[in-house]
Amino acid sequence: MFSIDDPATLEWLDGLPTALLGTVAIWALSACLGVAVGLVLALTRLSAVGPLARLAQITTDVGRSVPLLVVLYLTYFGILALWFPIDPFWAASAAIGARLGFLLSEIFRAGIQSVPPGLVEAAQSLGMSSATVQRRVVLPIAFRIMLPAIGQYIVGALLDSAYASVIGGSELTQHSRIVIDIMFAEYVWIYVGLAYLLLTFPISRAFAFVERRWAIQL
Amino acid sequence: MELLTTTLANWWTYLTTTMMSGLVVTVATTFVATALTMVWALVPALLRSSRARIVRLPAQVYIEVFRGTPVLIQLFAIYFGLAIAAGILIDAWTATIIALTLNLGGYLAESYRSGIASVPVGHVEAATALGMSRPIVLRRVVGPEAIRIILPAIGNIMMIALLTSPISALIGNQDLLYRALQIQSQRNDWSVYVLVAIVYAALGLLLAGANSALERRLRLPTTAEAPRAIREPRLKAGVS
Repeated sequence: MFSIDDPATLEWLDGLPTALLGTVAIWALSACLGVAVGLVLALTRLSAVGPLARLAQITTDVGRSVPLLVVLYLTYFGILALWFPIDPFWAASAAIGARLGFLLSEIFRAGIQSVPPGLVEAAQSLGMSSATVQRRVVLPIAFRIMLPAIGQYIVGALLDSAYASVIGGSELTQHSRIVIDIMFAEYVWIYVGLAYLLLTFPISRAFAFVERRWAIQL
Repeated sequence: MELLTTTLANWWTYLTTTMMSGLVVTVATTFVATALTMVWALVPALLRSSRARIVRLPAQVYIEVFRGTPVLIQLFAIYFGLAIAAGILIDAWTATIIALTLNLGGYLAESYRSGIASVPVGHVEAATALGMSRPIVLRRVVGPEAIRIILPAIGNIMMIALLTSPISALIGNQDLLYRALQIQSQRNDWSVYVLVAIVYAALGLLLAGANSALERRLRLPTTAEAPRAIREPRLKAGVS
């Protein structure tokens, strides 16, 4: 069963590189998209423009309360039915990235707001312009405060990439499901679990390392 | 305009027929999974705080495994894996509850631990110095302080349970998403995806509102809001 000449194992290993590439590609794309969407939403919410800030907040609140699977069906089948055939890869990355953005915007906002006002005032009294204050005081401190939460959500995005299998995206879960279904090899689920652990472990370790490295006492 | 009215009329039909039963299943799944998680998470949380490494290790492995793999895989492994590999047949709803409880338990166990760890050692020492026994310290000092961290975490877990529950539609649990997929395949009406997103958003916003109300209620007043006597304690004569 768990041997290297087992046909199901061989079959699984055979498609593994492509499958892993798909998973990592969806993850990387959605992580970049998520950080961008999150930053834009958070900065809009913190901006002085009333109606825009309100709109960003409503978008965040609604976006955070719709399940990813529903968002995925909506993006994939919605776009498919209304406009043009879309590749599952792009639909999945867009859905996972958008959801990650909604979650991260809340973290970004809270992180920026948690910078003690005294530090900002001190920087201002030293004659720094407001852009310099943001760049040299607010953002470096906020980033350190947010880091653990960001790490958790970035790892979460990797796990969420498994949802792409639902719409037929080429990635680890989809590949494994096909092998399991064709070969009736349920034990392959254990390999899949291990593969995801091996992927998430270095990422969470890297975040823990950076966290320790840049730790500050406020 | 006509498209809008027919869509709304269709939505009303869906909502009052099959989707209502789906809503009940979704809400039941969310509540049952949360309640079981609250109890189950105590086990790894307590094991992890043990001094013996041999006791701590299994809890650590459990938390790492269930937090490091997709919940979708966990659900499939439990539903299909157990059925075929071990010959244990369970229905889709039970499989969903088991998967959600095991998955969320890994997260809540960490919150339980950090809730207890957040109580300053000085408070426990002060209570002990006053002559309180260990159970009384737990009940009157550690408990009330930790609950302020733990209750919002439970609210959060419930939110995740609600947002994760639609994956059960993939194994045939007849929840909201399952009903929507069913309607879509029977009537070929794509707008049902929009409807199901609205229903989930309404449920999610309701829960998020309840969570933030709870958090506001649990929040300790800051020094600025505290009554003057607490803010500026008058020193008694002879005490410097």
